[in-house]
Amino acid sequence: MPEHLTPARGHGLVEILDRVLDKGLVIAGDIKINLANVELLTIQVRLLVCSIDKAEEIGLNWWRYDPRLTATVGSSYASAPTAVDIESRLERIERRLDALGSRGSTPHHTGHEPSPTE
Amino acid sequence: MTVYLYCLVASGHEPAPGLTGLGGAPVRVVSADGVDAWVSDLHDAGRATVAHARAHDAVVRAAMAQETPLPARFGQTFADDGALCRSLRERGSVLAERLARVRGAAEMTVRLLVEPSSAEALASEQRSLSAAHPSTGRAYLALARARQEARAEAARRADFLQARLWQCVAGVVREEARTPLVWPARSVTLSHLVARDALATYRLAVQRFVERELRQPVLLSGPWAPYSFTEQPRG
Repeated sequence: MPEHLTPARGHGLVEILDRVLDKGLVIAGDIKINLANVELLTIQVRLLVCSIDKAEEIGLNWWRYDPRLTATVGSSYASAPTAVDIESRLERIERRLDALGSRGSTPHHTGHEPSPTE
Repeated sequence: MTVYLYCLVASGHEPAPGLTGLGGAPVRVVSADGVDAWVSDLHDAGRATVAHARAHDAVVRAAMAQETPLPARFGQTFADDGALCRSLRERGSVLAERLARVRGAAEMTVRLLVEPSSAEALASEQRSLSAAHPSTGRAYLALARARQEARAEAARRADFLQARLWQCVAGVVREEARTPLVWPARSVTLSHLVARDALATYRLAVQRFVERELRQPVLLSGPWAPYSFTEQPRG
């Protein structure tokens, strides 16, 4: 390979996804694998909802720093929480909010109930 | 259960025994009007995963090892073989024409960075991109105009580079496809449909282009199945 050409790293994931998801023949079938409903936090590659170029057009370049997608990752990103971590954290927060909400609503149930005209 | 489509191949090519696709299902052929569709049965069409995408591409590459296919976009399923055949017949002549067009060829992709044409343009662009929040309306408008001009300049430069690259590779390229300039990353992706026996010549032609026109290397990838050349060329 000439020195001025940088070969892609084999059939790398990013290159594959850029083609498979955004290019290729579309004939009258159903898109049954529901890309719109992809679980963003559990699917490792959120590129499944848009191509690299389109993602960058709208300012999304997180995949550059995702250790599961890139061979070289800056140390500041290598220790970043995973999607699973974020999801479980979100669940904990939601549970606490629910608990706070039910506690906060207690006076309403035991005290004055608003009338239909209020 | 549905039928998942990977690619279309000219008649006469069979998947290798043991070739599997999504979910490990065996790949089989559905034929209609001289076109073979490589498919597999899909029992659970729920969630898209990276493994699915890789499996899709692996089947397309397996077809590519025999004859250049028309790769299908990821995720297309049909109720049954009959539904797929009806869809193929509706576009029969167009698909046959496209298969003939890509036959014996592969897709090569050049990703290049569109550098500013001069040091002055580079400095101006860097000023506009790194500017902090403007304090006055006049400053805001000036900044907006600078950014607009930088982008327009990059677009013109991209057109220029595309034309220059075309001059270098035209002899071995059947078709060209280009994605819009990505801004502010200022990258451009050019895909070329190249006869497989001309790939070495193509690489040398790209090399010549880079040496003449660019200060930075380009990313050259391929050969790929012709994902960018499955539709009729524009114009």
